[in-house]
Amino acid sequence: MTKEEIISKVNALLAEEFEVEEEVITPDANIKKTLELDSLSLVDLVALIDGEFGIKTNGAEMSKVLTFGELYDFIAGKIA
Amino acid sequence: MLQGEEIKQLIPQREPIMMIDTFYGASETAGKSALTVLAANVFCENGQLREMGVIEHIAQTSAAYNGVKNKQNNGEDSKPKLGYIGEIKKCQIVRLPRVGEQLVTEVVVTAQVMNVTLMEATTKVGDETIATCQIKLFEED
Amino acid sequence: MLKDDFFTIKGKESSGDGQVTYHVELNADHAIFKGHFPGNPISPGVCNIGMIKACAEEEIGASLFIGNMKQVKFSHLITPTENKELDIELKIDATDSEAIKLVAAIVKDGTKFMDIKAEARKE
Repeated sequence: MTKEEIISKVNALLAEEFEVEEEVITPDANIKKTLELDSLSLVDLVALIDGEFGIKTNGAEMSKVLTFGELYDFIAGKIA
Repeated sequence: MLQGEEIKQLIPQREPIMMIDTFYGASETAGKSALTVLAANVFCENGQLREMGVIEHIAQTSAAYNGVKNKQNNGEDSKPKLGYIGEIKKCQIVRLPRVGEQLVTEVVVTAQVMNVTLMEATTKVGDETIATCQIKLFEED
Repeated sequence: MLKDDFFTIKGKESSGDGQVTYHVELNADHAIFKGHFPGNPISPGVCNIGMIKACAEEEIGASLFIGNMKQVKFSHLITPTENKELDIELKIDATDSEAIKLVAAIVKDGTKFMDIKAEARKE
């Protein structure tokens, strides 16, 4: 999967699940702020990404991922 | 397998709101428990365990799974942490269990971040699935 | 089962938009608080659902079976000491008696403790 494919998949998935416009999802944007995630809904993001890309993310890894750009890199690293 | 009083090692709830009476054990990502419905159950009415009882039974199955993990990570003597339901989604209850029936529930962990665990639960009476739901459990540190 | 035992209904108000608000009060001495949790009483999430259900039953005038809870979100804990008085906001669409739509929240003074979207039917 190319980086572009990851980006478009992630953006479409998150826009639908968290009911935001895809345009607001940019590499430098903060994930929690943009998707309005609280401490309870971060786990939904992890479940969604894990399910879509067939990966297994643990909480400690995810706490280092702050922006969408970091999320794309994180996924790319996991499926490489 | 843990039964009766031994369940108290795994979950913080006490009478009259203990909604599991048997815990079969936990794997890395799943746990399984049971409850036989008694007429004296606080959530029983007219011979049926109401929705609240079914959901609490599912929540306590999740709590017991967490209780096992807690002991594995922090030692056998670790007391169960207080935990709460954070969210319930897609909860379908097909029918209410009747007094005398045994509910068996399996929870499978979908994802876990810090002290929040997202699980899928299936509750059966015999071979009949009577409830399914996604449950998010929040645990105190 | 919880009404007049775990909690009591103190009054109700209707607003023009189809919303009904029930004012309720928790019974801090109820046995459930002894077990959830010993020395640290917190209203179980399922009892919060149960209070909403009881108010919806009061409003409809029939017993309900809530077989489909699409989403229930618990945002703040309810304790019988700090949050004895609560408001339960209900919006009920009973057009289809086999799939009564229930949207409700427990609130007080601007704090939302929980909300629920569910479908129920009369028993």
